[in-house]
Amino acid sequence: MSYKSFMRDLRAGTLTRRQMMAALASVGLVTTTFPKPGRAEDSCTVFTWAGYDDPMFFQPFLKKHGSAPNFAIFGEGEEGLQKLRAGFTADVAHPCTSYVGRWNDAGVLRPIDVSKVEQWNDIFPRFREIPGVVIGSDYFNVPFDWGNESILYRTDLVDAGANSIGLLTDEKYEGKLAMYDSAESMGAVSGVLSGAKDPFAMTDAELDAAKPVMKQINANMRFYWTDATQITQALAAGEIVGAWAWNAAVVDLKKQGVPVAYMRPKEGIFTWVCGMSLLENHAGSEELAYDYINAMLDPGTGKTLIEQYGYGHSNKQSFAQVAPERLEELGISDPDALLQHSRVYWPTPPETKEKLIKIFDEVKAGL
Amino acid sequence: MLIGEELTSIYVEGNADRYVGEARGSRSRWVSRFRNSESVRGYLLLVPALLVVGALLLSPLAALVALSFASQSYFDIDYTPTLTNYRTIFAPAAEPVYFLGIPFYLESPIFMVLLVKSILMSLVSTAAVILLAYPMAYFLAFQVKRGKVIWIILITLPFWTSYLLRVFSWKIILGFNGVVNSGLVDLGIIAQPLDFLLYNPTAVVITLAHAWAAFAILPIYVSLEKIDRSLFEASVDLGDSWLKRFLRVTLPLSWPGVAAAAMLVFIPTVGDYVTPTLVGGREGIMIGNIVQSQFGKANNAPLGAAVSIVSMTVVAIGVLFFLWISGRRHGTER
Repeated sequence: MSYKSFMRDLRAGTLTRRQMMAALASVGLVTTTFPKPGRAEDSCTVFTWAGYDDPMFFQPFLKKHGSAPNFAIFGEGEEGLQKLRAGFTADVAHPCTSYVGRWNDAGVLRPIDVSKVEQWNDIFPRFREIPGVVIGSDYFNVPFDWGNESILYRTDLVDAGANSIGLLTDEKYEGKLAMYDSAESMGAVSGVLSGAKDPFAMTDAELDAAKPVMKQINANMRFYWTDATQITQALAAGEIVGAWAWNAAVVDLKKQGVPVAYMRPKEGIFTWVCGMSLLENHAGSEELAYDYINAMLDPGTGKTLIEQYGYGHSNKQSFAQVAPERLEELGISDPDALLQHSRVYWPTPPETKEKLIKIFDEVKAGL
Repeated sequence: MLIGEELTSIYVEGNADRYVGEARGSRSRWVSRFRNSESVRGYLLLVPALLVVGALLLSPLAALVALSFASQSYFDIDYTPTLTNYRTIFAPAAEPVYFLGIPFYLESPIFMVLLVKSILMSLVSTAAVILLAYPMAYFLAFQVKRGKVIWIILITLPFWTSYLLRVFSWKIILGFNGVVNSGLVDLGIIAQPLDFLLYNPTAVVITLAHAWAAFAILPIYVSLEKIDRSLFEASVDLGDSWLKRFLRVTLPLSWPGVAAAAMLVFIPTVGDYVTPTLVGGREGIMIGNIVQSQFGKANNAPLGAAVSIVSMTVVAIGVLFFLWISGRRHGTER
């Protein structure tokens, strides 16, 4: 039926019910199956950790585009990876460098064109060489933030005289501690405590030696946390007296006036570096994705990150904008040295990771 | 033109006498027999439901069974049928691992241990739900004379919110600074908040018992409501005490409702993982958590599928056994 005859019949009122239905059905078919060009161009979804969806971290992006990107949150590197593998679509993700290789092996990442990253040359050179940031000859991650993992404890309720992460195994604090729900962290801590040569790549014998330590730690846990607010609330209430935590929690609790301290353990402090990766399975605009990465690397954002969360930024210029006393207080005045002397989370070989996760599951089940 | 043909045949059916008189072709006779057959009509009516069940229940289940015979290495799933996963679950070991005094002679006992633990926790929850729900249903059936609908709405009111919210609210009630603790501290009964309320198997059982209550109250209420009241009078007239009347008349006659409630609560709670995640702490984890872990962090979906299949089979056998027992005890009812 031609358009002309259709219009003629419509006007004359001689259109049959079936012809009408066919016309409506074709409209429906076209509207539901036709690609929507306008929509994809103006959207950008960021898959990140809780707390980074605050507009204070992407002011330049807001200024340029007038609206924030969409956010989706993950609580742990493996969890984020499995969500992406199950088909979740986003444009930019925020994995930590120790996970990037694994994410890339799973095929969820694509290389980054660093020439589109305006502040690339201002990033500390040491960060640009971390495995995960660069894989082979391609860049898969733009370092953004870095910080520590250590014991955060109530100074009024814990005797931390030994200054050791062995505090987690101290029976005195049974049921009064909390651990990050991550096989990587649990493995690293128990690896160091059981004397493994490389806590990020333990041998089978070292894993066997680490398991009893994990059991000791497990026995002391009130709960495993997946969101930093769980520990800040529990520490403030006195429900727990210590926790394996990121340093943002320290800043948060001190602001609330809770007597806490962050341990700089004799075993060496753990450091993580996380950054922005582009996702293979994406739907939004690439231009917006790079704009978001650039906004995150902006020195202004870096200043906010350092002052509000106590994390380090990857951009050298950010440190010039923060008062030296504040940097000293946070213990991040010399990023290069810190990176060199602390235990930086290094990628765990896949087979080791799988064994570690299995052991961690067994320990959590009480076996 | 299918629609045209249908229209014609409906028209023809309307004038069946004339039609049969005019043409006795074998095809039309077959059509009319087809149309008059009640079972065919029944099945036709069932088609939408069967399609939904097939698409949303049977095909995912078939996929799960197929996946349980696959194997995964790193990020690749190999679909060549293998028994590896089942071997992992059931591989025997010479040295037993003890859980609740039960020896498990298994290489990786985690799956069976958690399954046994989940079934025990679920049984306790089911018993708690029935004990709580029965008096409520009894009250609703026999004491409430007017406005039953309002009572039923009131009972189901908490179930208008999401399951997750209901579980989370128990975290607020049982928490360290929660309703129970701060209430007791304010009343001066305890000096320090009790920390055994949350993050243990008891918290999981309490939460499950509340979260599934409506699923037990309603079937029990329906079965109590159906009982012929004259039977109560008869039993009292024949000299039964209140307790005897309950045990010999009320309970047996409401047993189908109790059994249905037990099924409705027990089956879904065995595999629950949200509740243990939120209120179970490190001691309260169940089989659902390990399945979730296999599909997620542990990165071994085929093993997760096999654990699910084993768990479903064990629960199904348990339920069938329960039904057989109740059928034998109350088989004379119908």
